[in-house]
Amino acid sequence: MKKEIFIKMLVNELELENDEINDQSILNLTSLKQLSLISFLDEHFSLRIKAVNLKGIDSVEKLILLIGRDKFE
Amino acid sequence: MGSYIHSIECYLPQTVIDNYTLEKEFPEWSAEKIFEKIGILNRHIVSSNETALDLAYNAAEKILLDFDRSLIDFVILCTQSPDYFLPTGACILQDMLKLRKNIGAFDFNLGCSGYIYGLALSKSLINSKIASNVLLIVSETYSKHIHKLDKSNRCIFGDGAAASLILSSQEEKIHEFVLGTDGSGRENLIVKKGGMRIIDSDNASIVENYLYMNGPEIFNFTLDIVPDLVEKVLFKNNLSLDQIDYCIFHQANKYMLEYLRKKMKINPAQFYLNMLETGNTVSATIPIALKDCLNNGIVKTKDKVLLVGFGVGYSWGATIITI
Repeated sequence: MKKEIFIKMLVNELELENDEINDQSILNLTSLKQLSLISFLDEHFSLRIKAVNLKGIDSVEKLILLIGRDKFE
Repeated sequence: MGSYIHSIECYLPQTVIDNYTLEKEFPEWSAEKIFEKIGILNRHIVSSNETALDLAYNAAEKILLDFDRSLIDFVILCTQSPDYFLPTGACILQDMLKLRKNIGAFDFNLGCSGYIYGLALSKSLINSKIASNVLLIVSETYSKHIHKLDKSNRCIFGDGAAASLILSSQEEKIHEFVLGTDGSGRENLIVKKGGMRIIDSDNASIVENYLYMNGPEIFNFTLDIVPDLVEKVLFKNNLSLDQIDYCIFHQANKYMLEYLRKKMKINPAQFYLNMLETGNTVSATIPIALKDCLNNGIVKTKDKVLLVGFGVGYSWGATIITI
């Protein structure tokens, strides 16, 4: 997946208010947003993320690392 | 010899907490946002002196208005909010409901899979000729387990009870079951206080004294279990999804159910999703939903309905019934 498309989908899925999201953008994952992220990653990357692994995800960059850089063009 | 669900009656406590009340307590969340995300407008909550046994009694009295109580020969109560460690609530109900004394009665402790297990137990009792007319009651008051500052769980859970009469019949209308258990998930939905493991609850942390739910991990559990469970119960009953007229899953929350439905490619017109007025009432969601479907003609005679329960334990189960 292209990173720009991923970020656009992420903004939509997590209802992020800032349109200018990039790798360094901070993610504040509330419990509801964690549910959204789990379903988003399951649907688009067939990836199941344990809740404990979401705890340290506070930026787009860390999320991309968790998914795996090889999944992005 | 077979069994069927003769009737269902529900009872909800009178006090209603709406999203605007929750918004006042938790201004960082809007009433509209709560509704949009979890699909709940109102939840009924017991008063301080009202218990799951009271709800169970009221639901049972409603169903016994149209059924001769002297014919009841077994009472089963499913709750995780019992009045006492002992005696069992079902024994107290035998007396409160003025049922015969030569009947069986017991409680069992399950949450969101409780109604499915209750049906399995009722069918087994009938098919083994231990009983003919089983009064199955599911009753839950999770509000008593939830800390007043726990906004997530207060938004999701409501209290409620449902009584079902499971009777013997010539034709089997409660079909094959698939049940499952994985106790390794116990820490993700748990109330530690009140049991024998944590005796000194005054010194226990808030997490130990009240309901704790790891929502994301519960969501992962449902994604792992539910699609496979549905596939297995269809296989066991020699049916395919397109032969099922309607699906009623445990009403956990709107977001989770919508995602599961899409993942399993179930037609939204054949999938129950309605927690507007009750919230997640744990073991009572499936019979409350089934009653709503029967009242409103959503399901009709001879329909095949898939029932799926999953949650605390972890515990899960599914069956197919013919209306």
